Amino acid sequence: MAGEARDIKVQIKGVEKVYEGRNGKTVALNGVNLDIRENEFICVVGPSGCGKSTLLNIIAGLLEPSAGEVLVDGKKVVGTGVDRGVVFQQYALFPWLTVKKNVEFGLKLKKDITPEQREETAMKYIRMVGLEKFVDSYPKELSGGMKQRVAIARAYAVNPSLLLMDEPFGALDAQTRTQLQTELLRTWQEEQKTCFFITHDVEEAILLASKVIIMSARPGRIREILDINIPYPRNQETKILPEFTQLKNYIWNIVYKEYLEVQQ
Amino acid sequence: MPKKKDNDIISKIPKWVWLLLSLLAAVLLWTALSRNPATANSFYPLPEVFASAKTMIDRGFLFQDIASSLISAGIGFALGFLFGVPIAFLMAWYRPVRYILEPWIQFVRNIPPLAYVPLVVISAGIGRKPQIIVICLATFLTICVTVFQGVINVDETLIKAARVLGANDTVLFIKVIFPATTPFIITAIRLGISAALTTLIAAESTGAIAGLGMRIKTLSTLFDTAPMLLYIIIVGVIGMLAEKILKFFERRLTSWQEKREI
Repeated sequence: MAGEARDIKVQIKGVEKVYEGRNGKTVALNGVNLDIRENEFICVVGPSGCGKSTLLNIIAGLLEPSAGEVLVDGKKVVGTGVDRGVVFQQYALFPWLTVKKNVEFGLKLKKDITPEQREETAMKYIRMVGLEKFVDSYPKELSGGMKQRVAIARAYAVNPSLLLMDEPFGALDAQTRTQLQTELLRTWQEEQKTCFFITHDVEEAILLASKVIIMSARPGRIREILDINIPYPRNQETKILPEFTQLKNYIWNIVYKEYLEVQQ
Repeated sequence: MPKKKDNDIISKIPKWVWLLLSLLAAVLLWTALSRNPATANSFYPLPEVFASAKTMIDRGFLFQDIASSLISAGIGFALGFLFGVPIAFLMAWYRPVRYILEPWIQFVRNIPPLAYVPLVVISAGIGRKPQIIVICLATFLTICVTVFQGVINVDETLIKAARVLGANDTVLFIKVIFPATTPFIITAIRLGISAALTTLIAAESTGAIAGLGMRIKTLSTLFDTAPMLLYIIIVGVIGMLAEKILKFFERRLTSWQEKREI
């Protein structure tokens, strides 16, 4: 179960990111150090501008750090790799491909699988997100929640050991979000992947995470790391537990203070 | 996606009826203009305009002119497209290419082709060659600018998504950038056809022996208005037919796009 001592999956060592813009330098990340263990579910919260998306992009290999390095399974991250899947807030589905073709996109780039295996794998994850009736639909025919389900299936299909999610439910309505959180918890327990999940929503963070990382802004750094010791399986009823409310108030206070500091 | 209710009276009338109504309105307007003394000299009565088709056919001009213009416009457009699309991609992909080419593309794009036709003729001689060069240049510029806009507007998260799924540069280009740019390529073709047709007169203005543009110019100097109007109508109809064909392909190729219903 999560929280136990396990192998280190990701090591973030002294990561800095400086953007050089027209108005001089902006320090997005300032000396971030973090170890993520295998099968942990990490949720990162923090005010806008705390560099949480930047950190995710660096782990994904979509951005290069200005200093420091990220190791995944002991290997330094250079560029993207299929060991790290990403789910974006804006779904990022290929609008000219059907649901099935979207999920197959990454599989088609793998040389060592047959078309039958590809089809089978794609269908497995389409079924996992409950969209088997929509395999031949185009993204424009789907709701926001369905699109994000496809994006999750697409990320799972290439079987990454680390799943990076950048506010994946941020653009969804409350009901859909609740539903997708429950589904994600279930699949995380079934598939045993390490998750790095960014959110604005403190409740969402506590519900999902085995560990919550609170970041502060300007410059972006880790302010506090909190183990969430509420046992899995969790569901929406977890939210009424007293320790849940306590954690929520505690985290919320820090995040709110950070938010006020950013405003000033 | 918001869809318009199909139960109002406007939607109930079939498209071809609307087309007929539109034609009727045009004929009425034309007839009115041809009766009005102030405009009668420009708008010959339609029966006369269409009757002139027979004269032009008898003189052996009409089909020769249409064929000649279609060949020049077709070859010029095809070449413009063949150069325009790859160069647009190169400009979007490699910044040095963009920085060197873009100012000149914008520079030449706004010069009326009529202005540089003599220069082309001086080097390329008379005949079909200068026509093709002028039309090629005009379509190239239009297509290049449009496709370039399309490529640089490709949603960055799609590129990121493809990268994290294991796409290298080649895969990214073939499977993401190119399909994402298709709507812009279609628009570029549309604007390119229009550029080719509107450049016809300029292209055929020096030394052409046949062609719609050349004939319009000749007829206008002779004040032979009825066949001139006929030719103008023919150019317009060719443009509309090209648009119809393009629409057909557009529906097939870009039906995945999210479009607002108007």
